[in-house]
Amino acid sequence: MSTIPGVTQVETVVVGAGFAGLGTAIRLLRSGRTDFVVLERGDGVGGTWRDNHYPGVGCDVPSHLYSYSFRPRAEWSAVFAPGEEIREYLTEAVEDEGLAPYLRLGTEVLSMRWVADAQRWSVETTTGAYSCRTVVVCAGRLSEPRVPAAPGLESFDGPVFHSARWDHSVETAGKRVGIVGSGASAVQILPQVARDADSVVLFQRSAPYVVPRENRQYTPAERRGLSRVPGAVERLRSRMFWDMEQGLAARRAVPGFVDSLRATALGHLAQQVPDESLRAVLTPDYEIGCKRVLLSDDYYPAVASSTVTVVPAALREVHGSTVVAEDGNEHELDVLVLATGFESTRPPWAERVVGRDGGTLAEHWDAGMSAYASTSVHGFPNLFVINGPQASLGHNSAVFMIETQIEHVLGALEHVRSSGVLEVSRTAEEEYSAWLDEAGEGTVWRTGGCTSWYRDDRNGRLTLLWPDFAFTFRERFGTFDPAGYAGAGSVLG
Amino acid sequence: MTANPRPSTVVLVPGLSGSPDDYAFVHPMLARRGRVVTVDLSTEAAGVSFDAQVEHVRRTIDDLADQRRQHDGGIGEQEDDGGIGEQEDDGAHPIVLVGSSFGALVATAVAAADPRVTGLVLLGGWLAPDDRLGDALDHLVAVRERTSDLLDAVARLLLLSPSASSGATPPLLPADELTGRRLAWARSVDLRHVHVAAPVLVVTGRADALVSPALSQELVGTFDDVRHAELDAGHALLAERPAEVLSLVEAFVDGRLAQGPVEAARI
Repeated sequence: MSTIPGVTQVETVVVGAGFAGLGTAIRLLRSGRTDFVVLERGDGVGGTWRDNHYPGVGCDVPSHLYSYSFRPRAEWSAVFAPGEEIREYLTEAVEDEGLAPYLRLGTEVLSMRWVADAQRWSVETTTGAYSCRTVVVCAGRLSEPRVPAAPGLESFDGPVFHSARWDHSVETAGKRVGIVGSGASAVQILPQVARDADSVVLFQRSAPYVVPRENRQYTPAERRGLSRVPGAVERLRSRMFWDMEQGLAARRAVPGFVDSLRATALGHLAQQVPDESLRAVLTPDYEIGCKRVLLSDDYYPAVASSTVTVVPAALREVHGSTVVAEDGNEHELDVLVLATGFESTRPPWAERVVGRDGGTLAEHWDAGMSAYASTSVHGFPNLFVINGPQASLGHNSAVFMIETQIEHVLGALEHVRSSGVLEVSRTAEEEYSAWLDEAGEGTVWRTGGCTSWYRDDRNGRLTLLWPDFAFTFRERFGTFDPAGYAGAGSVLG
Repeated sequence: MTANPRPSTVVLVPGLSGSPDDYAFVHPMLARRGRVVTVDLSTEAAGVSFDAQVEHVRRTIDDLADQRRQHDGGIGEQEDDGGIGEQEDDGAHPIVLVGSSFGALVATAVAAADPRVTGLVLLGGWLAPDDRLGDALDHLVAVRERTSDLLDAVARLLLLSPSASSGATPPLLPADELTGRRLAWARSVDLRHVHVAAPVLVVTGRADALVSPALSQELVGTFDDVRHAELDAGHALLAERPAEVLSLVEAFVDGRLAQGPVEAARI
């Protein structure tokens, strides 16, 4: 292979420096591999936890579980630590693990193209070109803000920004603030903004189910005890994991479990919102679990406060400082926060990936994402996607899924080193998708009567979700097995 | 998840409560990939002696075999697409029997006498009580008889580990007469002489206040073809770690657990 001037030759390019990309890099480095780079378009690491720094940002999975098993941390400040602490955890991982020499910050991937003759990927970036044998895409699921298509939005008189691009120079205290959306971000933002805003208008297209968060700080003695007693963090983490696994029963609409979860949420609402008419507006019209179940103890009290008005409608249009809702009512606002989620079922990065046949990954996914083992796509040899299609959970920790995929991918990378090009067969990819479609039948994600980011509106399929237990994903795909790449369902059982 | 269904039927035997509620989580979750039946031992109809409870489970297996024959090789809506017919056209209908606590005694007795049982899972099981277990069962009997309103609280302290979440859950032990009888049978039954040829999975709780490590080890040592797992839990494994139990049972039923010590997914 000739070396082209100006093109950096590496074995593996990792795209993205969030939980998945950094985790991949750590595991590569710890296994003695140094011939890789991590490309990150942002100016720092942390992915979701770098982008989302809005007031009140936090995770809805307990921190001892929402962290790497290979980097347990006894010092988490709370059961659900603040988002900033999660970002610091990742920054610390970069320092401790010596990842800095492998990181290329401020480097956005412009294109990735499979070069058949060389059997390598050609990666063009804003800071230079790379040629590599394998690519691991860790571009994140919640990384591309979705902005509503309301006419006039760009000409809004005041500041307008997405929740994942929070503008801290904008003062919301004493202002009339509009919050568009009522998902996981809005539920965290609203209580913070409502504290000192003049007024808050919440544009709610569909009401979320909210259950108690019951967060609490760990005491210094608890934290030191966890760090001093061997195995204590691991036992706590394991207990959290297996407790959360039980949440799948409700998602599979098992009567006692879904009823109990619904009763918890509606009981929480009834307890925190005495006003009957407001409660009606805040009562979801679909089955619980269909959309992500949110955790908050201060959302309903904030919504019920005199500062907040709930508009049970999406945004229609904007004229100057007047924001019109789909119900026709107009609201005069100073600041507009778009807590409208992310482009998760159609990741924009897929448009930049050109496979063996010259088509883009976005074209391949035209009817919805799919990937064998939630990781490998037919027509895109030696390319692996972590945290992409059918790898998210509605009931347990994303980091567990990411770690499972990392181990699978490490095995695949070794396979490529020893045996050459690895491409999953069309049969294997299709069998896998069909199997997951079947597994998702009867779940609240399919039958609950909602639209959600788990479900692709192009085909109605659950293209983002692994619709089973987290442990079954690890059992089946946590260890790389080349046999599965050929098809015939040998590892699906 | 009906793709790739299991060839075997799983029969679940409850613990001291006798109630199918013990398997409220495990049953529907196992059923996503195959046939599951939970035996109800909580009613008078289930028998008035330990042997009668054993017989009740055996008859359940008879019924399953009958249904299977009637369905001409396919037993139920969840197993109609997995190529079961070609695997078992000789009348053999493999049964994996799962017993919890007292139900482990019942399941062991059934498995020892019934070759249709091709796998046995024992959750918090034992073969014959030692002094500690005998005392614990005696105390539970006494509490039920004298201060039945305290039975659930005492049972909770004895059957769950101190790390168990404190959330409201249904009673572990109902204070009814049949529960009293099961406690007494658990006190008197001795299965140390039994021989089980089928593969066995023994699951124990590291913080089991009833069944000592020595009793668990005796259980593991009794069988020829055995794998064993220890969970971070008390005696009531199904109440405390149901998902972890499920993962082990599924792996066992699928034939994915080799002999020796085993564990669920490392977190």
